[in-house]
Amino acid sequence: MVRLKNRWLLFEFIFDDTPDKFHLSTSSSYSSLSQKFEALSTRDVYSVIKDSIQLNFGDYGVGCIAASISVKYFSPFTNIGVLRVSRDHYHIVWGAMTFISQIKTRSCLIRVLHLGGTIKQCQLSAINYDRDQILLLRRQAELRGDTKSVNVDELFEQSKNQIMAMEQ
Amino acid sequence: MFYDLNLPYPVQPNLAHQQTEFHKRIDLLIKFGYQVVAYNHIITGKLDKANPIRKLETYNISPDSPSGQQKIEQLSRVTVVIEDASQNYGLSSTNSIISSYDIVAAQPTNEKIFQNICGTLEVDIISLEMGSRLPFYIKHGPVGLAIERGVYFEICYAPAIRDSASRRQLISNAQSLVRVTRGKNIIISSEAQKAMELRGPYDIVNLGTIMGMNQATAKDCVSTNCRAVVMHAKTRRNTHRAVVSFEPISSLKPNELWKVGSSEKNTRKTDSKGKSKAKRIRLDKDYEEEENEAEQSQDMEV
Repeated sequence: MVRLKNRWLLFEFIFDDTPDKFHLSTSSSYSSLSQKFEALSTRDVYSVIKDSIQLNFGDYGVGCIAASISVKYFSPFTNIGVLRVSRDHYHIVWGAMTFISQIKTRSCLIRVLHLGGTIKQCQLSAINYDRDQILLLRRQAELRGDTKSVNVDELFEQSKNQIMAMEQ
Repeated sequence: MFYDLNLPYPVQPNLAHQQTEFHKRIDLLIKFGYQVVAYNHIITGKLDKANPIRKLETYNISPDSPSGQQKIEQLSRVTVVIEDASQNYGLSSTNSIISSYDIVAAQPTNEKIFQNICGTLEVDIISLEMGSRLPFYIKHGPVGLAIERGVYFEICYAPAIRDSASRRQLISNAQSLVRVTRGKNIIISSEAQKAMELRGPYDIVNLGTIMGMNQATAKDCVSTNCRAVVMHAKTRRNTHRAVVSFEPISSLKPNELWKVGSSEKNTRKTDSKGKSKAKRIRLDKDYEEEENEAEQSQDMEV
């Protein structure tokens, strides 16, 4: 019996209206952002990708990936997510993601950060990405002379636990 | 190293909202990891005083910008839309307007002009408007000629992201171009009017595979081939018959002054021949080999 091989895509949403992500200093201000815009769920991300596949690759495209696609993780705070798809058809999903230009009337773009053969590597690079973002936020805060102390280690730990909680 | 050789320059760069949009696009390009960007002016009609050329401001990255200390190399580019084959557009390196730009591109509007550009005109890039139906077929003959001369064809991906109809056209046109050129001498650039129309370099490589290229050739379209275009432009502008270039003595570093025999340490008198330094330009091939080696380590697992 031949094993079904998968590809794991780590992707990031970039929104037009909030490049100010860089100007948030603590995790609490993230929640004010999510009040302003309805937080995206895993289901929203799944449906926008599937609609894009339907639009760009038609019934054939949807048929190819329907059995294997699943959005394993999406964080509305950092806007990154992990998606699984069968290895033979990952370029369809990736192409469809490239053509996405809005989600729930909010204009956005998707960038793939990592493409891997196992979930482990995706998790690791997601953790790395989160750490870079947190450090960047802290540096931004420092540059603006924000003296509010941010517990960086706690944020690291939090994001790491969330990402490692993903199951196969 | 990734290149985006077509970022439209704002029509009225003094207007505040156009300027912020422009800066937003450059910020995003830096975030995506591009290292070279070319600002594009599109000129329709004759190149003369009637088309005054706006100088490109250098974009300075402020120290507290989100992109941090990263640098991006900036080039200027002009795209001349050629509508009439009989008209002389003055596309030669002796034209001062043309030589004020780093890269020169031409956009043909019919088959006769397309053949003319492929065969004779001194340009670096042939830009086809792929978001709409092309008025002619891309044929093997002229394309082969252009490849032989080292001229590159451009595919702009932003129209495909903008709307569905041009997406269809672009994929169809791009596939026929890839078929005719066999994947050689193609560059992919953005032509993004808005920041949200840009995409990351690896997303574009994947887009290239949809257009019928394989992974390796698609990657060359945003890296190696663009570098070849920049080198082609440099040899066209600053060299004598693409072999020898001249630099003023003032551009030499103090520790290199011995080459012209004029350093304080060296007591030899400067002779008249030593006034300028001749430097041989290596063939593009050598550069590409180096580039390939350097990039192997940066490869993403694809």
